[in-house]
Amino acid sequence: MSEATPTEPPSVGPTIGLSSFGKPVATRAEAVELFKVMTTGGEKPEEIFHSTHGDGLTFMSDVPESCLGGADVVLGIDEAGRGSVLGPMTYSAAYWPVSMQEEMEQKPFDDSKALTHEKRRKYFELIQDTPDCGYVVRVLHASEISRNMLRKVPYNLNDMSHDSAMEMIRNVQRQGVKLTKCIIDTVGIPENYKRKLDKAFEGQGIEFIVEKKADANYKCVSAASICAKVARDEITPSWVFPEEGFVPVNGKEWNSGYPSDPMCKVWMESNLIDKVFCYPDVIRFSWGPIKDRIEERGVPVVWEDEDEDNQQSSMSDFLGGSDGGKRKRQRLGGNKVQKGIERTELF
Amino acid sequence: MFEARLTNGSILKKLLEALKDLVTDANIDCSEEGLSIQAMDSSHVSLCAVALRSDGFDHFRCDRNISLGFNSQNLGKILKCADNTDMITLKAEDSADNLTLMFESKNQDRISDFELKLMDIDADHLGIPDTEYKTTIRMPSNEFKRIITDLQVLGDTCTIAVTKEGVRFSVTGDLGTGNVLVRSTNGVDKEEEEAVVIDMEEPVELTFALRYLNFFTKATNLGPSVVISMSPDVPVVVEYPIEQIGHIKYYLAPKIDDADE
Repeated sequence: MSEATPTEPPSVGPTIGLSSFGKPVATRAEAVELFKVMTTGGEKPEEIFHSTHGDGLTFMSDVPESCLGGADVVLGIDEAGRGSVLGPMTYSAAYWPVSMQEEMEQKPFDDSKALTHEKRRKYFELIQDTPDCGYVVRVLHASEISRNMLRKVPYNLNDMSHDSAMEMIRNVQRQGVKLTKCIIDTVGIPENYKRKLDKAFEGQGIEFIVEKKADANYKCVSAASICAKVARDEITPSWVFPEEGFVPVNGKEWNSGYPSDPMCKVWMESNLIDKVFCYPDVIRFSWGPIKDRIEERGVPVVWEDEDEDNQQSSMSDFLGGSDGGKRKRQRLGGNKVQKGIERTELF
Repeated sequence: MFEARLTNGSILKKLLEALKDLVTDANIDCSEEGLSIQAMDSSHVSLCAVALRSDGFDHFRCDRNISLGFNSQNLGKILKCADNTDMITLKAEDSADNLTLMFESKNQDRISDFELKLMDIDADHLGIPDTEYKTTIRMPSNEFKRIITDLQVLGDTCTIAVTKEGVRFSVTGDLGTGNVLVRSTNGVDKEEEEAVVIDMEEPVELTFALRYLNFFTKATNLGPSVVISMSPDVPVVVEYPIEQIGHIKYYLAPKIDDADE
């Protein structure tokens, strides 16, 4: 726990982000099936509803025919669950041919925040049933987020978001899709984000639009926001705790999972059960409210070899005293203090 | 009954500033000779020893020896309420649970008093060995502070090597390396306070955690000079003399090369 081997941030290599579920599936039916695993648990729920040691999963739909063969394609990106204190942050991309834009404008997709849970599910099915629309979902589990943010050199949430977005874009490109426009709901300062993207995809003919509220203003970003939100909404309540024997008080009654949510507060208060590890790893340990609670209610942790300091000698070894200078650690307690300054004893 | 008055109250303020990041709880030991504080930091790597002689106070009375256990953060908070120009009086009954601190402004137009609840700290006496040091460096305290601050940019560990060339402070870190060589001041055109005086019987080289040296430099405001004493394989002493009244001394255990063990 002290020095977990830091995982490298997602690099630009060719296979990044394609974990077991990350391979593009052959047919739309298969993609729907895969997502069903996510929504029902399926045969091996632990592969999705568990924390992972490596990176989270990437789901990809099959690539629509109309997006291949050199057609210009527009792609939108949005995320869900960013501020939550628990569960994954989900990032999603939705894309279709530029030539279909007019038709897509007729779809009822909207900012997922403006939709009810039922509407979102319905529209998600509509996305799945739209043959010209492809999508990608990247799941960043709480454990991945904690691990990244708590590294010696922190890998922060904004950078994770940016890298996930780029990783999704590359995954789509790798399937032979010619992206000409990417619209992204911003994380951080739009200008900086755009500059980062322009640089990363320089010379590839992609126009980047990075804006606030893009999820409400552009159909493909709305579609992405629906995919992201549905994914998070499916994963969080179906979570399978990997901690053996951990039975949460209040089940999974954490509601939105946002730290200001009264139900989530109750959950955080009543589920700090283990005094050492404090919470199960559905929790984002890098969040302030969690750190505070751990500090307050967990047992204090002393890292004996902190600062790799096994070369540091102890002052006690040099002091004379009631029981010689050989103690490794001199503890308080014992003889009453003598008055004044005395330098009597030798080494 | 214990009572001590210091016209220059800022000394006490600065002392607490110099202590509170290193030492959590400690005793002020009061005797006829004066006040002393000795304490180690929580990881027992360093030791801090304060001595204020009774003759350095404007008024000093101590009928019998007492120990006043305090939490340094809390005492620091109270002393923050005193102005730098205030006169400070410390008072305690022989079996008191409180330490009274009285702050009087220069022209006596404001008098405040505070009571700090004392703690029972049953501390071992720290038998600090009396060592003949092989080398002693006296240098301006702000110069030392600057070196430590600068070197901290590069790494965690600092080697202090005294040779006939001078004193070399070196650091190696991920960023690169750094060396600061300080030489003895030649000639007489410098004030004594600004001079660097190196007294070397034999060369000494020791390695220390910069984090602690940095804590020590919190005492820089207590005086213009710092005296660093070193001998092979024993803790360094970093002493800040406090004019006309005493000193604060920090002892820091060296880092030991594995090969030597």
